[in-house]
Amino acid sequence: MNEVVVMGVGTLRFGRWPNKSVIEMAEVPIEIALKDSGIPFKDIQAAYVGSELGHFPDARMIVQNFGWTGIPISQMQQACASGSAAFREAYFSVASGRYDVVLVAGYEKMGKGLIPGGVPEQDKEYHLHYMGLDVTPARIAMAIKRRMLTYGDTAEMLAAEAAQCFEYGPLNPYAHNQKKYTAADVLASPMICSPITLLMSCPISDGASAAIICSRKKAKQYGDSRAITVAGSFAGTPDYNDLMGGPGPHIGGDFKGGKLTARVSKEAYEKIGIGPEDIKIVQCHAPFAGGGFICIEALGYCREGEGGKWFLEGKTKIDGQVAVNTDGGLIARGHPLGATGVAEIGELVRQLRGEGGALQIPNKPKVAMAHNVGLGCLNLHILKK
Amino acid sequence: MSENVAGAEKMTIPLQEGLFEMGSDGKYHLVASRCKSCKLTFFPKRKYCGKCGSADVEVFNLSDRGKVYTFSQVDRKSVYTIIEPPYMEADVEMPEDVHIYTILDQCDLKSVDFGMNVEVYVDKVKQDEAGNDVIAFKFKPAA
Ligand SMILES: [Zn+2]
Repeated sequence: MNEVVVMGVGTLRFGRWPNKSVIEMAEVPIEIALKDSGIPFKDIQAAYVGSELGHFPDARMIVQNFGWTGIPISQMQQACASGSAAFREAYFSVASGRYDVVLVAGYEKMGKGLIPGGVPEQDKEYHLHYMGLDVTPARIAMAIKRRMLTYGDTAEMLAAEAAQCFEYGPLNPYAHNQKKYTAADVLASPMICSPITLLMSCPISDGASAAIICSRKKAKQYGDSRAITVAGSFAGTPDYNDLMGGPGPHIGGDFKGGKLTARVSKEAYEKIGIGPEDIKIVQCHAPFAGGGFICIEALGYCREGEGGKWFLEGKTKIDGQVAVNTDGGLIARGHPLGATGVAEIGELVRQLRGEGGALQIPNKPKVAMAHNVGLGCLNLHILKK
Repeated sequence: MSENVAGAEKMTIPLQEGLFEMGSDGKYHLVASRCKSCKLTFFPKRKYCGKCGSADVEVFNLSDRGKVYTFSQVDRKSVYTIIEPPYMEADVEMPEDVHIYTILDQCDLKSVDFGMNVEVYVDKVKQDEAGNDVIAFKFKPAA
Protein backbone atom coordinates (compact mmCIF):
# COMPACT_ATOMS: atom_id res chain seq x y z
CA MET A 1 0.00 0.00 0.00
CA ASN A 2 1.20 3.49 -0.83
CA GLU A 3 1.47 6.10 1.90
CA VAL A 4 -1.47 8.50 1.81
CA VAL A 5 -1.40 12.06 3.16
CA VAL A 6 -3.97 14.77 3.75
CA MET A 7 -2.84 17.92 1.95
CA GLY A 8 -5.73 20.26 2.58
CA VAL A 9 -8.91 20.56 4.62
CA GLY A 10 -11.85 22.94 4.66
CA THR A 11 -15.19 23.41 6.41
CA LEU A 12 -18.27 25.56 5.82
CA ARG A 13 -19.49 26.74 9.20
CA PHE A 14 -22.19 24.36 10.40
CA GLY A 15 -25.53 26.06 10.93
CA ARG A 16 -28.58 26.82 8.86
CA TRP A 17 -28.09 27.73 5.20
CA PRO A 18 -31.67 27.92 3.83
CA ASN A 19 -30.71 30.12 0.87
CA LYS A 20 -27.71 28.13 -0.33
CA SER A 21 -27.97 25.12 -2.63
CA VAL A 22 -25.87 22.11 -1.64
CA ILE A 23 -23.59 22.98 -4.58
CA GLU A 24 -23.00 26.46 -3.16
CA MET A 25 -22.56 25.02 0.33
CA ALA A 26 -19.94 22.48 -0.76
CA GLU A 27 -18.13 25.06 -2.89
CA VAL A 28 -16.90 26.84 0.25
CA PRO A 29 -14.96 24.00 1.94
CA ILE A 30 -13.68 22.62 -1.38
CA GLU A 31 -12.24 26.04 -2.26
CA ILE A 32 -10.63 26.28 1.19
CA ALA A 33 -9.23 22.73 0.98
CA LEU A 34 -7.79 23.23 -2.52
CA LYS A 35 -6.10 26.46 -1.41
CA ASP A 36 -4.86 24.80 1.79
CA SER A 37 -3.36 21.95 -0.26
CA GLY A 38 -1.74 24.12 -2.93
CA ILE A 39 -3.15 21.71 -5.52
CA PRO A 40 -5.16 23.05 -8.49
CA PHE A 41 -8.55 21.45 -9.20
CA LYS A 42 -7.38 20.30 -12.64
CA ASP A 43 -4.99 17.85 -10.93
CA ILE A 44 -7.80 16.04 -9.06
CA GLN A 45 -8.14 12.52 -10.51
CA ALA A 46 -11.24 11.28 -8.64
CA ALA A 47 -13.79 12.51 -6.12
CA TYR A 48 -15.74 10.84 -3.30
CA VAL A 49 -18.69 12.70 -1.82
CA GLY A 50 -20.62 11.67 1.28
CA SER A 51 -24.24 12.51 2.07
CA GLU A 52 -27.20 10.64 3.51
CA LEU A 53 -30.16 12.77 2.46
CA GLY A 54 -28.78 14.09 -0.84
CA HIS A 55 -30.16 13.50 -4.31
CA PHE A 56 -28.59 11.46 -7.07
CA PRO A 57 -27.00 14.26 -9.16
CA ASP A 58 -25.61 16.19 -6.15
CA ALA A 59 -22.10 14.73 -6.08
CA ARG A 60 -21.46 15.29 -9.77
CA MET A 61 -22.83 18.83 -9.66
CA ILE A 62 -20.78 19.66 -6.56
CA VAL A 63 -17.55 18.53 -8.21
CA GLN A 64 -18.37 19.73 -11.75
CA ASN A 65 -19.04 23.17 -10.27
CA PHE A 66 -15.22 23.44 -10.33
CA GLY A 67 -14.87 22.08 -13.86
CA TRP A 68 -16.05 19.31 -16.21
CA THR A 69 -12.76 17.45 -16.09
CA GLY A 70 -14.32 14.04 -16.75
CA ILE A 71 -13.05 12.35 -13.58
CA PRO A 72 -14.96 9.55 -11.80
CA ILE A 73 -17.20 10.92 -9.03
CA SER A 74 -18.72 8.62 -6.42
CA GLN A 75 -21.42 9.32 -3.86
CA MET A 76 -21.36 7.48 -0.53
CA GLN A 77 -24.48 7.07 1.59
CA GLN A 78 -23.88 5.68 5.07
CA ALA A 79 -26.16 7.65 7.39
CA CYS A 80 -24.19 9.72 9.93
CA ALA A 81 -20.97 8.09 8.71
CA SER A 82 -21.37 9.07 5.02
CA GLY A 83 -18.48 11.57 5.16
CA SER A 84 -16.01 9.15 6.71
CA ALA A 85 -17.16 6.49 4.21
CA ALA A 86 -16.20 8.88 1.39
CA PHE A 87 -12.85 9.52 3.09
CA ARG A 88 -12.30 5.77 3.51
CA GLU A 89 -12.94 4.94 -0.14
CA ALA A 90 -10.80 7.90 -1.24
CA TYR A 91 -8.02 6.66 1.02
CA PHE A 92 -8.09 3.16 -0.46
CA SER A 93 -8.17 4.55 -4.00
CA VAL A 94 -4.86 6.31 -3.33
CA ALA A 95 -3.30 3.62 -1.10
CA SER A 96 -3.93 1.03 -3.82
CA GLY A 97 -2.08 3.15 -6.37
CA ARG A 98 -5.09 3.73 -8.59
CA TYR A 99 -4.98 7.53 -8.13
CA ASP A 100 -2.53 10.06 -6.73
CA VAL A 101 -4.72 13.10 -6.03
CA VAL A 102 -8.29 12.74 -4.77
CA LEU A 103 -10.99 15.09 -3.49
CA VAL A 104 -13.23 14.14 -0.56
CA ALA A 105 -16.32 16.12 0.38
CA GLY A 106 -19.27 15.69 2.73
CA TYR A 107 -22.42 17.77 2.90
CA GLU A 108 -25.94 17.75 4.27
CA LYS A 109 -28.96 19.96 4.21
CA MET A 110 -31.21 18.78 7.02
CA GLY A 111 -34.96 19.00 7.41
CA LYS A 112 -36.72 19.78 10.64
CA GLY A 113 -37.31 17.69 13.75
CA LEU A 114 -36.14 14.19 14.56
CA ILE A 115 -34.57 12.16 11.80
CA PRO A 116 -36.55 8.96 11.19
CA GLY A 117 -34.56 5.74 11.24
CA GLY A 118 -35.88 4.79 7.82
CA VAL A 119 -38.93 4.87 5.55
CA PRO A 120 -41.94 2.60 6.33
CA GLU A 121 -42.59 1.62 2.70
CA GLN A 122 -38.98 0.46 2.31
CA ASP A 123 -38.44 -1.27 5.63
CA LYS A 124 -39.02 -4.84 6.63
CA GLU A 125 -39.69 -3.78 10.21
CA TYR A 126 -41.89 -0.83 9.47
CA HIS A 127 -43.96 -1.26 12.64
CA LEU A 128 -41.05 0.39 14.49
CA HIS A 129 -41.66 3.64 12.59
CA TYR A 130 -45.42 3.70 13.16
CA MET A 131 -45.10 2.72 16.81
CA GLY A 132 -42.62 5.52 17.56
CA LEU A 133 -39.78 3.08 18.18
CA ASP A 134 -37.38 4.59 15.64
CA VAL A 135 -36.45 7.65 17.70
CA THR A 136 -32.65 7.74 17.72
CA PRO A 137 -32.18 9.67 21.01
CA ALA A 138 -34.49 7.13 22.71
CA ARG A 139 -32.05 4.37 21.76
CA ILE A 140 -29.09 6.01 23.45
CA ALA A 141 -31.36 7.17 26.29
CA MET A 142 -32.25 3.54 27.01
CA ALA A 143 -28.59 2.51 26.87
CA ILE A 144 -27.63 5.32 29.27
CA LYS A 145 -30.54 4.48 31.55
CA ARG A 146 -29.23 0.94 31.82
CA ARG A 147 -25.72 2.31 32.50
CA MET A 148 -27.16 4.33 35.37
CA LEU A 149 -28.22 1.04 36.95
CA THR A 150 -25.07 -0.90 36.07
CA TYR A 151 -22.33 1.71 36.57
CA GLY A 152 -23.99 4.53 38.47
CA ASP A 153 -23.85 7.04 35.60
CA THR A 154 -25.60 10.28 36.60
CA ALA A 155 -27.37 13.18 34.90
CA GLU A 156 -24.47 15.36 36.12
CA MET A 157 -22.03 13.23 34.11
CA LEU A 158 -24.17 13.61 30.99
CA ALA A 159 -24.33 17.36 31.58
CA ALA A 160 -20.54 17.47 31.98
CA GLU A 161 -20.03 15.95 28.53
CA ALA A 162 -22.46 18.40 26.90
CA ALA A 163 -20.99 21.37 28.81
CA GLN A 164 -17.50 20.42 27.58
CA CYS A 165 -18.84 20.58 24.01
CA PHE A 166 -20.36 24.02 24.72
CA GLU A 167 -17.06 25.19 26.18
CA TYR A 168 -15.25 24.48 22.89
CA GLY A 169 -18.01 25.29 20.39
CA PRO A 170 -17.69 29.09 20.81
CA LEU A 171 -13.92 28.78 20.20
CA ASN A 172 -14.43 26.92 16.92
CA PRO A 173 -15.29 29.27 14.04
CA TYR A 174 -16.93 26.34 12.19
CA ALA A 175 -19.26 25.33 15.04
CA HIS A 176 -23.03 25.76 14.79
CA ASN A 177 -23.44 26.59 18.45
CA GLN A 178 -21.44 29.67 19.43
CA LYS A 179 -23.10 30.04 22.84
CA LYS A 180 -21.55 28.83 26.06
CA TYR A 181 -23.97 26.71 28.07
CA THR A 182 -23.11 25.43 31.54
CA ALA A 183 -23.88 22.00 32.99
CA ALA A 184 -26.76 23.65 34.89
CA ASP A 185 -28.19 25.01 31.61
CA VAL A 186 -27.94 21.53 30.10
CA LEU A 187 -29.81 19.95 33.01
CA ALA A 188 -32.50 22.66 32.99
CA SER A 189 -33.28 22.31 29.26
CA PRO A 190 -36.42 20.34 28.23
CA MET A 191 -36.35 16.56 28.40
CA ILE A 192 -36.50 14.84 24.98
CA CYS A 193 -36.08 11.16 25.87
CA SER A 194 -35.36 10.65 29.56
CA PRO A 195 -32.59 11.11 30.70
CA ILE A 196 -31.50 12.98 27.52
CA THR A 197 -32.35 16.71 27.48
CA LEU A 198 -32.46 19.05 24.49
CA LEU A 199 -28.98 20.47 25.22
CA MET A 200 -27.58 16.94 25.52
CA SER A 201 -28.50 16.44 21.85
CA CYS A 202 -26.86 17.58 18.63
CA PRO A 203 -28.71 20.48 17.00
CA ILE A 204 -30.12 20.25 13.48
CA SER A 205 -27.43 21.72 11.25
CA ASP A 206 -26.63 22.14 7.58
CA GLY A 207 -22.98 21.99 6.64
CA ALA A 208 -20.23 20.91 4.29
CA SER A 209 -16.60 19.88 4.60
CA ALA A 210 -13.79 18.78 2.31
CA ALA A 211 -10.30 17.31 2.19
CA ILE A 212 -7.67 16.79 -0.49
CA ILE A 213 -5.65 13.60 -0.18
CA CYS A 214 -2.59 12.56 -2.09
CA SER A 215 0.05 9.86 -2.34
CA ARG A 216 3.21 10.83 -0.41
CA LYS A 217 5.23 10.52 -3.60
CA LYS A 218 3.02 12.99 -5.45
CA ALA A 219 2.76 15.24 -2.38
CA LYS A 220 6.49 15.92 -2.51
CA GLN A 221 5.98 17.63 -5.90
CA TYR A 222 3.56 20.12 -4.34
CA GLY A 223 5.53 20.52 -1.09
CA ASP A 224 4.58 18.20 1.75
CA SER A 225 5.86 20.03 4.85
CA ARG A 226 2.31 20.38 6.26
CA ALA A 227 1.09 16.99 5.04
CA ILE A 228 -0.52 14.66 7.60
CA THR A 229 -0.27 10.89 7.08
CA VAL A 230 -3.34 8.69 7.09
CA ALA A 231 -1.95 5.78 9.13
CA GLY A 232 -4.97 3.57 8.56
CA SER A 233 -8.63 3.26 7.67
CA PHE A 234 -10.86 0.75 9.47
CA ALA A 235 -14.56 -0.01 9.24
CA GLY A 236 -17.24 -2.39 10.35
CA THR A 237 -20.91 -3.09 10.94
CA PRO A 238 -22.36 -4.64 14.10
CA ASP A 239 -22.35 -8.41 14.43
CA TYR A 240 -25.31 -10.35 15.86
CA ASN A 241 -23.84 -9.95 19.31
CA ASP A 242 -23.96 -6.13 19.20
CA LEU A 243 -27.70 -5.91 18.69
CA MET A 244 -29.98 -4.38 21.28
CA GLY A 245 -33.72 -4.92 21.17
CA GLY A 246 -33.41 -7.31 18.30
CA PRO A 247 -31.97 -6.82 14.85
CA GLY A 248 -33.38 -4.50 12.21
CA PRO A 249 -32.41 -1.29 10.50
CA HIS A 250 -32.75 0.72 13.70
CA ILE A 251 -30.01 -0.66 15.85
CA GLY A 252 -28.70 2.85 16.18
CA GLY A 253 -25.01 2.74 15.51
CA ASP A 254 -23.06 1.65 18.52
CA PHE A 255 -25.30 2.55 21.40
CA LYS A 256 -25.54 -0.73 23.23
CA GLY A 257 -22.13 -0.85 24.73
CA GLY A 258 -19.58 0.18 22.13
CA LYS A 259 -18.76 -3.38 21.08
CA LEU A 260 -18.41 -2.35 17.44
CA THR A 261 -16.08 0.52 18.39
CA ALA A 262 -14.07 -1.84 20.61
CA ARG A 263 -13.76 -4.43 17.83
CA VAL A 264 -12.77 -1.99 15.07
CA SER A 265 -10.36 0.02 17.26
CA LYS A 266 -8.67 -3.19 18.43
CA GLU A 267 -8.04 -4.08 14.80
CA ALA A 268 -6.66 -0.56 14.20
CA TYR A 269 -4.33 -0.73 17.21
CA GLU A 270 -2.99 -4.15 16.20
CA LYS A 271 -2.47 -3.32 12.52
CA ILE A 272 -0.74 0.01 13.19
CA GLY A 273 1.09 -1.17 16.29
CA ILE A 274 -0.14 1.57 18.62
CA GLY A 275 -2.49 1.81 21.58
CA PRO A 276 -4.80 4.41 23.11
CA GLU A 277 -1.84 5.68 25.17
CA ASP A 278 -0.27 6.91 21.90
CA ILE A 279 -3.36 8.84 20.76
CA LYS A 280 -3.89 12.02 22.76
CA ILE A 281 -6.74 13.46 20.69
CA VAL A 282 -9.96 11.84 19.51
CA GLN A 283 -12.93 13.22 17.61
CA CYS A 284 -15.62 10.75 18.54
CA HIS A 285 -19.16 10.28 17.34
CA ALA A 286 -21.38 11.35 20.24
CA PRO A 287 -24.62 12.89 18.94
CA PHE A 288 -26.08 12.65 22.45
CA ALA A 289 -24.39 13.03 25.82
CA GLY A 290 -23.20 9.69 27.11
CA GLY A 291 -21.98 8.72 23.65
CA GLY A 292 -18.57 9.96 24.73
CA PHE A 293 -18.57 7.69 27.81
CA ILE A 294 -19.25 4.60 25.71
CA CYS A 295 -16.60 5.70 23.21
CA ILE A 296 -13.66 6.32 25.51
CA GLU A 297 -14.35 3.05 27.29
CA ALA A 298 -14.62 1.09 24.03
CA LEU A 299 -11.48 2.76 22.67
CA GLY A 300 -9.58 1.58 25.74
CA TYR A 301 -8.90 4.90 27.49
CA CYS A 302 -10.61 3.79 30.67
CA ARG A 303 -12.36 0.75 32.08
CA GLU A 304 -16.01 -0.03 31.36
CA GLY A 305 -18.21 2.18 33.50
CA GLU A 306 -15.57 4.88 34.11
CA GLY A 307 -16.37 7.05 31.09
CA GLY A 308 -18.88 9.30 32.85
CA LYS A 309 -16.47 9.95 35.68
CA TRP A 310 -13.74 10.89 33.19
CA PHE A 311 -15.94 13.59 31.68
CA LEU A 312 -17.02 14.80 35.12
CA GLU A 313 -13.39 15.07 36.23
CA GLY A 314 -12.27 16.82 33.04
CA LYS A 315 -9.90 14.05 31.94
CA THR A 316 -11.33 14.43 28.42
CA LYS A 317 -10.60 18.15 28.13
CA ILE A 318 -8.01 19.81 25.90
CA ASP A 319 -5.39 19.53 28.66
CA GLY A 320 -6.70 16.19 29.98
CA GLN A 321 -5.49 12.63 29.53
CA VAL A 322 -7.15 12.43 26.12
CA ALA A 323 -8.63 15.49 24.38
CA VAL A 324 -12.11 14.48 23.19
CA ASN A 325 -14.12 16.47 20.66
CA THR A 326 -11.96 19.59 20.78
CA ASP A 327 -14.08 21.28 18.10
CA GLY A 328 -17.26 21.05 20.21
CA GLY A 329 -18.21 17.62 18.91
CA LEU A 330 -21.57 16.79 17.40
CA ILE A 331 -23.41 18.47 20.28
CA ALA A 332 -21.91 21.97 19.78
CA ARG A 333 -20.18 21.86 16.37
CA GLY A 334 -23.31 20.32 14.89
CA HIS A 335 -24.01 17.17 12.92
CA PRO A 336 -24.96 17.61 9.26
CA LEU A 337 -24.74 13.85 8.66
CA GLY A 338 -22.49 13.62 5.59
CA ALA A 339 -20.36 16.60 6.62
CA THR A 340 -19.48 15.32 10.09
CA GLY A 341 -16.88 12.67 9.24
CA VAL A 342 -14.85 14.97 6.98
CA ALA A 343 -15.08 17.85 9.50
CA GLU A 344 -13.60 15.52 12.15
CA ILE A 345 -10.63 14.90 9.83
CA GLY A 346 -10.30 18.67 9.30
CA GLU A 347 -10.10 19.41 13.03
CA LEU A 348 -7.51 16.66 13.57
CA VAL A 349 -5.36 17.81 10.65
CA ARG A 350 -5.31 21.35 12.08
CA GLN A 351 -4.42 19.99 15.55
CA LEU A 352 -1.60 17.79 14.25
CA ARG A 353 -0.18 20.67 12.21
CA GLY A 354 -0.29 22.90 15.29
CA GLU A 355 -2.86 25.15 13.59
CA GLY A 356 -5.61 24.49 16.14
CA GLY A 357 -5.94 28.13 17.18
CA ALA A 358 -7.73 28.70 20.50
CA LEU A 359 -8.48 24.96 20.63
CA GLN A 360 -4.90 23.75 20.06
CA ILE A 361 -4.10 21.00 22.53
CA PRO A 362 -0.89 21.85 24.38
CA ASN A 363 1.06 18.58 24.23
CA LYS A 364 1.85 18.67 20.47
CA PRO A 365 -0.07 15.53 19.45
CA LYS A 366 1.61 13.16 17.01
CA VAL A 367 -1.31 10.75 16.45
CA ALA A 368 -5.05 11.41 16.27
CA MET A 369 -8.23 9.40 15.80
CA ALA A 370 -11.45 10.17 13.93
CA HIS A 371 -14.38 7.97 14.97
CA ASN A 372 -17.63 8.29 13.00
CA VAL A 373 -20.68 6.06 13.49
CA GLY A 374 -23.72 5.82 11.25
CA LEU A 375 -26.92 3.86 11.88
CA GLY A 376 -25.37 0.43 11.94
CA CYS A 377 -21.85 1.18 10.65
CA LEU A 378 -18.54 2.63 11.80
CA ASN A 379 -15.51 4.19 10.12
CA LEU A 380 -12.33 4.87 12.05
CA HIS A 381 -9.26 6.73 10.80
CA ILE A 382 -5.88 7.19 12.41
CA LEU A 383 -3.86 10.25 11.39
CA LYS A 384 -0.17 10.78 12.09
CA LYS A 385 2.15 13.74 11.90
CA MET B 1 -61.86 5.28 -2.80
CA SER B 2 -62.72 2.86 -0.03
CA GLU B 3 -66.40 2.86 0.66
CA ASN B 4 -68.11 0.98 3.42
CA VAL B 5 -70.61 -1.41 1.96
CA ALA B 6 -73.62 -1.68 4.21
CA GLY B 7 -73.40 -4.88 6.19
CA ALA B 8 -69.77 -5.52 5.20
CA GLU B 9 -67.88 -6.95 8.15
CA LYS B 10 -65.04 -4.88 9.60
CA MET B 11 -61.76 -6.71 9.66
CA THR B 12 -58.91 -6.72 12.13
CA ILE B 13 -55.62 -6.13 10.33
CA PRO B 14 -52.16 -6.31 11.91
CA LEU B 15 -50.01 -3.21 11.52
CA GLN B 16 -47.27 -5.58 10.37
CA GLU B 17 -47.67 -9.23 9.34
CA GLY B 18 -45.75 -11.95 11.10
CA LEU B 19 -45.05 -10.36 14.48
CA PHE B 20 -47.81 -12.14 16.41
CA GLU B 21 -50.47 -14.77 15.81
CA MET B 22 -53.66 -16.03 17.45
CA GLY B 23 -53.02 -19.23 19.37
CA SER B 24 -55.38 -22.14 19.96
CA ASP B 25 -56.00 -20.60 23.40
CA GLY B 26 -57.66 -17.61 21.74
CA LYS B 27 -54.81 -15.25 22.73
CA TYR B 28 -52.21 -13.47 20.65
CA HIS B 29 -48.60 -14.59 21.03
CA LEU B 30 -45.37 -13.13 19.63
CA VAL B 31 -43.67 -15.15 16.89
CA ALA B 32 -39.90 -15.70 16.96
CA SER B 33 -37.38 -17.94 15.21
CA ARG B 34 -34.61 -20.09 16.63
CA CYS B 35 -31.64 -21.45 14.74
CA LYS B 36 -31.48 -25.22 14.97
CA SER B 37 -27.68 -25.29 14.93
CA CYS B 38 -26.59 -22.31 17.06
CA LYS B 39 -29.83 -22.08 19.07
CA LEU B 40 -30.00 -18.29 18.87
CA THR B 41 -33.45 -16.73 19.05
CA PHE B 42 -34.51 -13.69 17.02
CA PHE B 43 -37.57 -11.49 17.15
CA PRO B 44 -39.07 -10.68 14.71
CA LYS B 45 -38.62 -14.15 13.21
CA ARG B 46 -35.94 -14.46 10.56
CA LYS B 47 -35.72 -16.63 7.47
CA TYR B 48 -31.94 -16.90 7.99
CA CYS B 49 -30.24 -17.15 11.35
CA GLY B 50 -28.71 -13.77 12.23
CA LYS B 51 -25.52 -15.41 13.44
CA CYS B 52 -24.66 -18.27 11.09
CA GLY B 53 -26.96 -17.57 8.14
CA SER B 54 -28.58 -21.01 8.27
CA ALA B 55 -32.11 -21.30 6.86
CA ASP B 56 -32.75 -24.24 9.16
CA VAL B 57 -34.72 -22.28 11.74
CA GLU B 58 -37.81 -23.16 13.73
CA VAL B 59 -40.62 -20.70 14.25
CA PHE B 60 -42.28 -20.70 17.66
CA ASN B 61 -44.30 -18.57 20.07
CA LEU B 62 -42.48 -16.60 22.73
CA SER B 63 -43.61 -16.49 26.35
CA ASP B 64 -46.14 -13.78 27.05
CA ARG B 65 -44.15 -12.28 29.91
CA GLY B 66 -40.79 -10.58 30.16
CA LYS B 67 -38.88 -8.06 32.28
CA VAL B 68 -38.07 -4.42 31.58
CA TYR B 69 -34.35 -4.31 30.75
CA THR B 70 -34.27 -0.55 30.12
CA PHE B 71 -36.65 2.26 29.18
CA SER B 72 -37.00 5.90 28.19
CA GLN B 73 -39.92 8.27 28.20
CA VAL B 74 -40.17 9.78 24.72
CA ASP B 75 -41.44 13.38 24.62
CA ARG B 76 -40.89 14.09 20.92
CA LYS B 77 -42.83 12.75 17.96
CA SER B 78 -40.95 11.12 15.09
CA VAL B 79 -42.05 11.51 11.51
CA TYR B 80 -44.17 8.44 10.83
CA THR B 81 -45.43 7.55 14.28
CA ILE B 82 -49.10 7.15 15.06
CA ILE B 83 -48.43 7.14 18.82
CA GLU B 84 -48.75 10.45 20.66
CA PRO B 85 -45.97 11.44 23.06
CA PRO B 86 -45.30 11.24 25.88
CA TYR B 87 -45.05 7.47 25.79
CA MET B 88 -42.74 4.89 27.31
CA GLU B 89 -40.36 2.99 25.06
CA ALA B 90 -38.91 -0.10 26.65
CA ASP B 91 -36.46 -2.86 25.87
CA VAL B 92 -38.03 -6.01 27.29
CA GLU B 93 -35.90 -9.04 28.06
CA MET B 94 -37.76 -12.29 27.34
CA PRO B 95 -37.11 -15.66 29.03
CA GLU B 96 -36.06 -17.03 25.61
CA ASP B 97 -32.98 -14.74 25.75
CA VAL B 98 -34.16 -12.23 23.21
CA HIS B 99 -34.86 -8.50 23.65
CA ILE B 100 -37.87 -6.68 22.21
CA TYR B 101 -38.37 -2.97 21.58
CA THR B 102 -41.88 -2.01 22.52
CA ILE B 103 -44.31 0.58 23.77
CA LEU B 104 -45.12 0.11 27.44
CA ASP B 105 -48.73 1.11 27.87
CA GLN B 106 -51.48 0.97 30.48
CA CYS B 107 -49.06 2.08 33.16
CA ASP B 108 -48.13 5.14 35.17
CA LEU B 109 -45.07 6.41 33.29
CA LYS B 110 -43.38 7.30 36.59
CA SER B 111 -43.79 3.79 37.99
CA VAL B 112 -41.76 2.02 35.28
CA ASP B 113 -38.59 0.45 36.62
CA PHE B 114 -35.86 -2.06 35.78
CA GLY B 115 -36.90 -5.68 36.14
CA MET B 116 -40.61 -4.85 36.12
CA ASN B 117 -42.74 -7.83 35.07
CA VAL B 118 -44.60 -7.02 31.87
CA GLU B 119 -46.84 -8.95 29.50
CA VAL B 120 -47.58 -8.67 25.82
CA TYR B 121 -51.02 -7.71 24.54
CA VAL B 122 -52.49 -6.65 21.24
CA ASP B 123 -54.19 -3.29 20.96
CA LYS B 124 -56.01 -1.32 18.28
CA VAL B 125 -53.66 1.49 17.19
CA LYS B 126 -55.71 3.06 14.40
CA GLN B 127 -58.56 2.63 11.97
CA ASP B 128 -57.74 2.35 8.28
CA GLU B 129 -59.61 4.05 5.42
CA ALA B 130 -62.01 1.13 5.05
CA GLY B 131 -62.92 1.31 8.72
CA ASN B 132 -60.94 -1.79 9.70
CA ASP B 133 -59.19 -1.95 13.04
CA VAL B 134 -55.40 -1.95 12.75
CA ILE B 135 -53.77 -3.79 15.63
CA ALA B 136 -50.23 -3.94 17.00
CA PHE B 137 -48.49 -5.51 19.97
CA LYS B 138 -47.53 -3.57 23.08
CA PHE B 139 -46.54 -4.54 26.61
CA LYS B 140 -48.23 -3.62 29.90
CA PRO B 141 -47.49 -4.34 33.56
CA ALA B 142 -48.19 -8.02 34.22
CA ALA B 143 -51.33 -8.75 36.14
ZN1 LIG C 1 -27.41 -20.10 13.50
